[in-house]
Amino acid sequence: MQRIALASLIVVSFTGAAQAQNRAVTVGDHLVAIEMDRLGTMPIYPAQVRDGRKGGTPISFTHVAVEKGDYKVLVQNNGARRVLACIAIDGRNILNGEKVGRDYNELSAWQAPGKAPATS
Amino acid sequence: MQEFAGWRTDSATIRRFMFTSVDNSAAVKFFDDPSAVGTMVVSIFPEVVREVYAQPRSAEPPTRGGPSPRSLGTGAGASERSEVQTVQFEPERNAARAFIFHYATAAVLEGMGVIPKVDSAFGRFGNKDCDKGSFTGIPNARPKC
Repeated sequence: MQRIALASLIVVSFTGAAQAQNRAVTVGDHLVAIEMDRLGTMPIYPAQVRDGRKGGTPISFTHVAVEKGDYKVLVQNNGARRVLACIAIDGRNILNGEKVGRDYNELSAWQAPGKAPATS
Repeated sequence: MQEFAGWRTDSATIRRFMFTSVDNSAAVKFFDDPSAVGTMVVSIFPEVVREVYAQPRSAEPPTRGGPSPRSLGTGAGASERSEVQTVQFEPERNAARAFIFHYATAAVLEGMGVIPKVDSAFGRFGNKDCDKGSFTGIPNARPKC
Protein backbone atom coordinates (compact mmCIF):
# COMPACT_ATOMS: atom_id res chain seq x y z
CA MET A 1 0.00 0.00 0.00
CA GLN A 2 1.36 3.41 -0.85
CA ARG A 3 0.85 6.76 0.72
CA ILE A 4 -0.13 9.38 -1.80
CA ALA A 5 -0.47 13.10 -1.25
CA LEU A 6 -4.11 14.00 -1.07
CA ALA A 7 -3.40 16.89 -3.39
CA SER A 8 -3.06 14.37 -6.18
CA LEU A 9 -6.04 12.25 -5.29
CA ILE A 10 -9.50 12.69 -6.60
CA VAL A 11 -12.02 11.47 -4.12
CA VAL A 12 -14.97 9.59 -5.47
CA SER A 13 -17.66 11.97 -6.51
CA PHE A 14 -21.02 11.49 -8.10
CA THR A 15 -21.92 15.14 -8.04
CA GLY A 16 -21.46 17.80 -10.66
CA ALA A 17 -22.67 17.39 -14.18
CA ALA A 18 -20.20 17.61 -17.03
CA GLN A 19 -19.45 21.15 -18.14
CA ALA A 20 -20.01 22.46 -21.63
CA GLN A 21 -17.97 20.43 -24.08
CA ASN A 22 -15.85 23.33 -25.24
CA ARG A 23 -14.83 24.25 -21.69
CA ALA A 24 -13.63 20.86 -20.52
CA VAL A 25 -12.55 17.52 -21.85
CA THR A 26 -14.85 14.78 -20.64
CA VAL A 27 -14.09 11.18 -21.44
CA GLY A 28 -15.86 8.41 -19.64
CA ASP A 29 -15.96 9.21 -15.93
CA HIS A 30 -13.23 11.84 -16.02
CA LEU A 31 -13.30 15.55 -16.70
CA VAL A 32 -10.33 17.90 -17.05
CA ALA A 33 -10.44 21.67 -17.54
CA ILE A 34 -8.13 24.67 -17.33
CA GLU A 35 -9.43 27.59 -15.30
CA MET A 36 -7.82 31.02 -15.37
CA ASP A 37 -8.37 33.32 -12.41
CA ARG A 38 -9.52 36.22 -14.61
CA LEU A 39 -11.32 34.37 -17.39
CA GLY A 40 -12.81 31.21 -15.96
CA THR A 41 -12.56 27.89 -17.76
CA MET A 42 -10.80 28.22 -21.07
CA PRO A 43 -12.07 27.07 -24.47
CA ILE A 44 -10.82 23.72 -25.67
CA TYR A 45 -10.49 22.64 -29.27
CA PRO A 46 -10.05 19.20 -30.77
CA ALA A 47 -6.54 18.41 -31.92
CA GLN A 48 -5.70 17.69 -35.52
CA VAL A 49 -3.98 14.59 -34.19
CA ARG A 50 -6.54 11.87 -33.56
CA ASP A 51 -6.93 10.35 -30.16
CA GLY A 52 -4.87 7.22 -29.78
CA ARG A 53 -3.55 4.66 -27.36
CA LYS A 54 -0.26 4.22 -25.60
CA GLY A 55 0.48 0.84 -24.07
CA GLY A 56 -3.23 0.18 -23.84
CA THR A 57 -4.03 3.56 -22.28
CA PRO A 58 -6.47 5.71 -24.29
CA ILE A 59 -5.01 9.17 -24.95
CA SER A 60 -7.04 12.32 -25.64
CA PHE A 61 -5.31 15.17 -27.50
CA THR A 62 -6.71 18.70 -27.34
CA HIS A 63 -5.69 22.35 -27.64
CA VAL A 64 -6.58 25.01 -25.09
CA ALA A 65 -6.45 28.73 -25.79
CA VAL A 66 -4.95 30.73 -22.95
CA GLU A 67 -3.31 34.02 -22.19
CA LYS A 68 -0.92 35.26 -19.54
CA GLY A 69 -2.11 34.91 -15.96
CA ASP A 70 -2.63 32.54 -13.04
CA TYR A 71 -4.53 29.33 -13.59
CA LYS A 72 -5.59 26.00 -12.11
CA VAL A 73 -6.03 22.52 -13.51
CA LEU A 74 -9.45 21.09 -12.63
CA VAL A 75 -10.01 17.34 -12.50
CA GLN A 76 -13.23 15.57 -11.68
CA ASN A 77 -13.90 11.90 -11.20
CA ASN A 78 -17.49 10.83 -11.71
CA GLY A 79 -16.76 7.14 -11.43
CA ALA A 80 -17.38 4.79 -8.55
CA ARG A 81 -13.67 3.98 -8.08
CA ARG A 82 -11.20 6.36 -6.53
CA VAL A 83 -8.46 7.48 -8.90
CA LEU A 84 -5.01 9.03 -8.71
CA ALA A 85 -4.46 12.01 -10.99
CA CYS A 86 -0.84 12.60 -11.97
CA ILE A 87 -0.18 15.94 -13.64
CA ALA A 88 2.80 17.16 -15.64
CA ILE A 89 3.11 20.69 -16.94
CA ASP A 90 5.80 21.55 -19.47
CA GLY A 91 7.13 18.04 -18.95
CA ARG A 92 7.51 18.30 -15.15
CA ASN A 93 5.59 16.53 -12.38
CA ILE A 94 3.80 19.29 -10.47
CA LEU A 95 4.46 17.58 -7.13
CA ASN A 96 8.21 17.02 -7.28
CA GLY A 97 9.53 18.73 -10.43
CA GLU A 98 10.78 15.48 -11.86
CA LYS A 99 10.84 15.17 -15.63
CA VAL A 100 8.04 13.00 -16.97
CA GLY A 101 8.86 11.42 -20.27
CA ARG A 102 6.73 9.67 -22.82
CA ASP A 103 5.84 6.83 -20.44
CA TYR A 104 3.26 8.97 -18.65
CA ASN A 105 0.81 6.07 -18.98
CA GLU A 106 2.93 4.02 -16.56
CA LEU A 107 2.94 4.75 -12.85
CA SER A 108 6.70 4.21 -12.61
CA ALA A 109 7.24 7.32 -14.72
CA TRP A 110 5.66 9.43 -11.98
CA GLN A 111 7.44 7.98 -9.00
CA ALA A 112 10.63 9.55 -7.71
CA PRO A 113 11.55 7.78 -4.45
CA GLY A 114 12.90 10.13 -1.83
CA LYS A 115 11.99 13.24 -3.78
CA ALA A 116 8.27 13.41 -3.24
CA PRO A 117 6.98 15.92 -0.68
CA ALA A 118 6.53 14.69 2.86
CA THR A 119 3.57 12.38 2.98
CA SER A 120 3.80 10.64 6.33
CA MET B 1 -13.93 18.75 -8.45
CA GLN B 2 -10.29 18.75 -7.45
CA GLU B 3 -8.23 21.86 -8.14
CA PHE B 4 -4.49 21.88 -8.75
CA ALA B 5 -3.29 25.45 -8.47
CA GLY B 6 0.47 25.35 -8.37
CA TRP B 7 3.86 23.68 -8.19
CA ARG B 8 4.40 22.04 -4.82
CA THR B 9 7.51 23.46 -3.18
CA ASP B 10 7.19 21.79 0.22
CA SER B 11 4.62 20.04 2.35
CA ALA B 12 2.85 23.29 3.18
CA THR B 13 3.37 25.53 0.16
CA ILE B 14 2.70 25.74 -3.55
CA ARG B 15 3.67 28.35 -6.11
CA ARG B 16 0.84 29.30 -8.41
CA PHE B 17 0.69 28.14 -12.02
CA MET B 18 1.04 31.19 -14.21
CA PHE B 19 0.98 31.34 -17.99
CA THR B 20 3.95 33.48 -18.94
CA SER B 21 6.56 33.87 -21.64
CA VAL B 22 8.59 30.79 -22.48
CA ASP B 23 11.74 32.52 -21.19
CA ASN B 24 10.07 33.11 -17.84
CA SER B 25 8.67 29.59 -17.52
CA ALA B 26 9.76 27.25 -14.75
CA ALA B 27 10.96 24.81 -17.38
CA VAL B 28 13.52 27.34 -18.60
CA LYS B 29 14.33 29.23 -15.39
CA PHE B 30 14.62 26.29 -13.01
CA PHE B 31 15.22 23.26 -15.20
CA ASP B 32 16.84 24.71 -18.32
CA ASP B 33 14.72 22.35 -20.39
CA PRO B 34 12.14 23.94 -22.69
CA SER B 35 11.59 20.75 -24.71
CA ALA B 36 8.06 20.14 -23.42
CA VAL B 37 6.91 23.72 -22.86
CA GLY B 38 3.30 24.22 -23.89
CA THR B 39 2.06 20.77 -22.91
CA MET B 40 0.05 19.42 -20.01
CA VAL B 41 -0.50 15.75 -19.26
CA VAL B 42 -3.10 14.43 -16.83
CA SER B 43 -2.86 10.68 -16.30
CA ILE B 44 -5.61 8.91 -14.41
CA PHE B 45 -4.70 5.79 -12.42
CA PRO B 46 -7.59 3.85 -10.86
CA GLU B 47 -7.29 2.32 -7.43
CA VAL B 48 -6.46 -1.36 -7.39
CA VAL B 49 -9.47 -3.55 -6.84
CA ARG B 50 -8.25 -6.94 -5.75
CA GLU B 51 -11.29 -8.84 -6.93
CA VAL B 52 -10.88 -7.64 -10.51
CA TYR B 53 -8.30 -9.17 -12.84
CA ALA B 54 -6.16 -6.81 -14.92
CA GLN B 55 -7.30 -6.21 -18.47
CA PRO B 56 -4.91 -7.42 -21.20
CA ARG B 57 -2.86 -4.71 -22.84
CA SER B 58 -3.76 -3.53 -26.28
CA ALA B 59 -1.30 -4.34 -29.04
CA GLU B 60 -2.25 -1.13 -30.81
CA PRO B 61 0.75 1.18 -31.37
CA PRO B 62 0.74 4.54 -29.61
CA THR B 63 -0.35 7.58 -31.54
CA ARG B 64 1.82 10.62 -31.16
CA GLY B 65 1.34 14.17 -32.30
CA GLY B 66 3.99 16.29 -33.95
CA PRO B 67 5.56 19.33 -32.31
CA SER B 68 3.18 22.21 -31.70
CA PRO B 69 4.08 25.89 -31.79
CA ARG B 70 4.86 27.38 -28.40
CA SER B 71 3.84 30.81 -27.32
CA LEU B 72 3.57 30.53 -23.54
CA GLY B 73 5.06 28.46 -20.74
CA THR B 74 4.08 27.95 -17.13
CA GLY B 75 5.94 29.95 -14.52
CA ALA B 76 6.04 29.67 -10.76
CA GLY B 77 3.97 32.53 -9.40
CA ALA B 78 3.05 33.67 -5.93
CA SER B 79 3.44 31.31 -3.00
CA GLU B 80 0.29 29.99 -1.36
CA ARG B 81 -0.22 27.89 1.73
CA SER B 82 -1.37 24.41 0.81
CA GLU B 83 -0.94 21.65 3.37
CA VAL B 84 -0.26 18.14 2.14
CA GLN B 85 -2.57 15.46 3.51
CA THR B 86 -2.07 11.78 3.03
CA VAL B 87 -4.40 8.91 2.34
CA GLN B 88 -3.99 5.21 1.77
CA PHE B 89 -4.22 4.47 -1.91
CA GLU B 90 -2.85 1.74 -4.12
CA PRO B 91 -2.95 2.74 -7.78
CA GLU B 92 -2.88 0.43 -10.74
CA ARG B 93 0.38 0.41 -12.67
CA ASN B 94 -1.13 1.58 -15.93
CA ALA B 95 -3.26 4.64 -16.47
CA ALA B 96 -6.88 4.19 -17.40
CA ARG B 97 -6.81 7.43 -19.40
CA ALA B 98 -4.40 10.22 -20.24
CA PHE B 99 -5.33 13.73 -21.31
CA ILE B 100 -2.77 15.71 -23.28
CA PHE B 101 -3.29 19.44 -23.75
CA HIS B 102 -1.33 21.76 -25.97
CA TYR B 103 -1.81 25.24 -24.59
CA ALA B 104 -1.09 28.40 -26.55
CA THR B 105 -2.43 31.85 -27.24
CA ALA B 106 -5.44 32.21 -29.52
CA ALA B 107 -3.18 33.80 -32.14
CA VAL B 108 -0.96 30.73 -32.27
CA LEU B 109 -3.95 28.40 -32.45
CA GLU B 110 -5.33 30.53 -35.28
CA GLY B 111 -2.04 30.16 -37.09
CA MET B 112 -2.28 26.40 -36.68
CA GLY B 113 -5.81 26.36 -38.08
CA VAL B 114 -7.27 25.16 -34.77
CA ILE B 115 -9.33 28.33 -34.32
CA PRO B 116 -10.98 29.84 -37.40
CA LYS B 117 -9.73 33.29 -38.29
CA VAL B 118 -12.12 36.20 -37.75
CA ASP B 119 -12.01 39.11 -40.20
CA SER B 120 -14.06 41.59 -38.20
CA ALA B 121 -12.54 45.06 -38.18
CA PHE B 122 -13.51 45.31 -34.54
CA GLY B 123 -12.17 41.98 -33.40
CA ARG B 124 -14.04 38.93 -32.26
CA PHE B 125 -16.62 40.75 -30.23
CA GLY B 126 -17.56 43.42 -32.75
CA ASN B 127 -16.71 46.09 -30.23
CA LYS B 128 -13.83 48.37 -31.06
CA ASP B 129 -13.37 49.26 -27.40
CA CYS B 130 -12.41 45.70 -26.72
CA ASP B 131 -9.35 46.05 -28.94
CA LYS B 132 -8.00 48.77 -26.70
CA GLY B 133 -8.64 47.23 -23.35
CA SER B 134 -8.33 43.72 -22.06
CA PHE B 135 -9.45 42.06 -25.27
CA THR B 136 -8.54 38.44 -24.87
CA GLY B 137 -8.68 37.29 -28.48
CA ILE B 138 -10.18 34.02 -27.32
CA PRO B 139 -13.49 32.89 -28.81
CA ASN B 140 -16.37 32.73 -26.35
CA ALA B 141 -14.30 34.37 -23.62
CA ARG B 142 -16.15 37.23 -22.01
CA PRO B 143 -14.28 40.48 -22.65
CA LYS B 144 -13.58 42.59 -19.62
CA CYS B 145 -14.35 45.79 -21.49
